[in-house]
Amino acid sequence: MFTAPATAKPTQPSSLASSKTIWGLLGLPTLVLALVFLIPALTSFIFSLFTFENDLYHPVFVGLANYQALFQNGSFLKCLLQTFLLGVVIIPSVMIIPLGMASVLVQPFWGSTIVRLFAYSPVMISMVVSATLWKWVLQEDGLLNGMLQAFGGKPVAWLTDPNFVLGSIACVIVWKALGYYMMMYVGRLQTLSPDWYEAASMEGATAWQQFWYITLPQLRPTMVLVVTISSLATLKLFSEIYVLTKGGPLHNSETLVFFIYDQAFGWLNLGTACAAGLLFAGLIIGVMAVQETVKYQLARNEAKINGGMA
Amino acid sequence: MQTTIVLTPRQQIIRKVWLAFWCLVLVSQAVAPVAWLLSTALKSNQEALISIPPQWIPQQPTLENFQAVWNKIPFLAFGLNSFIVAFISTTLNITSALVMGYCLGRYNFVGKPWLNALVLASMFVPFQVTMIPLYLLCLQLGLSEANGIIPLYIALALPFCVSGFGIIYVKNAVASLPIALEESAILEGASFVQLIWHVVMPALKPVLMTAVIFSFLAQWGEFLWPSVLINSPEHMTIPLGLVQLQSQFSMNWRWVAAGTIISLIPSFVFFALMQKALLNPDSVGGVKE
Repeated sequence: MFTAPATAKPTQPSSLASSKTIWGLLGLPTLVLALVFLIPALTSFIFSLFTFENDLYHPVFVGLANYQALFQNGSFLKCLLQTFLLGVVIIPSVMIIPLGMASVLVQPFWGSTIVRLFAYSPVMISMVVSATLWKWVLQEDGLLNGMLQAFGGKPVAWLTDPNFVLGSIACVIVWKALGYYMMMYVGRLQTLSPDWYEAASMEGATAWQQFWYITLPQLRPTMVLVVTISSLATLKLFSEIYVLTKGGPLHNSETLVFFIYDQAFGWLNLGTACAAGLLFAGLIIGVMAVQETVKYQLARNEAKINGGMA
Repeated sequence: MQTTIVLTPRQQIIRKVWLAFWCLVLVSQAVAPVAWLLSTALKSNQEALISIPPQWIPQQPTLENFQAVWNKIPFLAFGLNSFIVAFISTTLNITSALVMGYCLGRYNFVGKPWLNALVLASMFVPFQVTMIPLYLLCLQLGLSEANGIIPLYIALALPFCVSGFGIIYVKNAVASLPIALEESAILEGASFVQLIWHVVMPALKPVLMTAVIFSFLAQWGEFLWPSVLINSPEHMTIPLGLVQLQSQFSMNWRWVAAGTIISLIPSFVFFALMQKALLNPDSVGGVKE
């Protein structure tokens, strides 16, 4: 997740900071972290072993039954599937489109800063606002259908047709995120050496070949980062969907977080909610683990290439 | 990414037109939804909101929708709530990230492996998992809106006061900081706190700025946690107020549009102030939750 410069062991400036001094400073934040993270996480695990269905104040121990029940729970599986489908649209889109945007905007030209600024601006607005904007565009009698009809098309129920709703939501999410990933690509593209391209064009490589054989391989670490960040963001989707559709029509746009929220605050099934939450945490740890492995492999390959060249 | 191939004048023109075309596409895709909402907010009651083809320019632009919605919705109070919560959590988040990230990155101390593990684990477990017990904990500690606005502010800011992401972000930045500065400060007799305040913080300024921007933005737009804690309208933050506005006036999109545009103004001001830091590509991509 983070591009840490390879460091040796932390070097201590001096013996000025003893463990006592350090803990004097770190004690309070550590306590807060324990209070807002560790205790709730452990409680969540304990809750997931109990059922609260009969009486909220007298939970009954059920072992792993909540977890088992989740895999037979149609609405949980539906939420899981829908989260996955959103990811299938969102992740490739934010991998590819921002790269195109970045390759246009990385070249310096008159006004490039302004264009970057505009292209980045959706990142700055809050999720609730971006969802509101798009709700108004995608409504049945909204802007998009108005434009479609003006060109002789048929209106589409973007947010209320079960076949379209996930696609529409994915578009809104992608729209808001484009600028963020674009800047990540711009940052990486700026560091690529022009010498490589000069040499390649002298050898007669086409622009496409240059992109495919020079640019793309060097963008791999950035792409891994984009995939990781966007998959984590997709898993956590909630606010946008809440504003756009409230999970409808008929639960067709509910995601994992909707399920947890609904079980906890709608049905007061704290056990089920916490079990779902921990499975959710498992998914996130899985994504992070895959990313770490890929990053490690990439670094090893790179080391091999550099070693071969030297 | 520039090549040194010499282009003929005709090729240059084609290239420029092509570039201009893509810039136009990039700008308009970003601006169009906001422009459409603004256009809606400016339309008077007499003008139809829906027409085919859609009317982008209002026939008789009016500010009456802004006035009406400003009188209906206490934007200043919502904005103040949002600002206070975002300010508290950002300040504490960045301070704790600075201190913890620096100590974890530079020193060896008793219990460091444990602290490292705690910080890492807090990054892996999403907020949605800890949210339910945290809510019950807040209720037990009396941090709820029933006890007034101050406990509510504390509850709203609490989960975001210390973040593993921020700590690791600073820790990584500290690793690339030359140690000589700190050593000379120590030779001159700086205390530990002085060292962090006068030497480490200025050296990490760009990193911390980025963290401040993303932390503040995230808090300003936070919806899930406030929606769990807040019920009464006078305690709402901006995002909750906007959602309430939509359910209250779902039939009157002129007002919803005007209210949403009003809520965008602080974001634009913030954007204008921060654009230099934001568009520095080295700074983005570091922190995002």
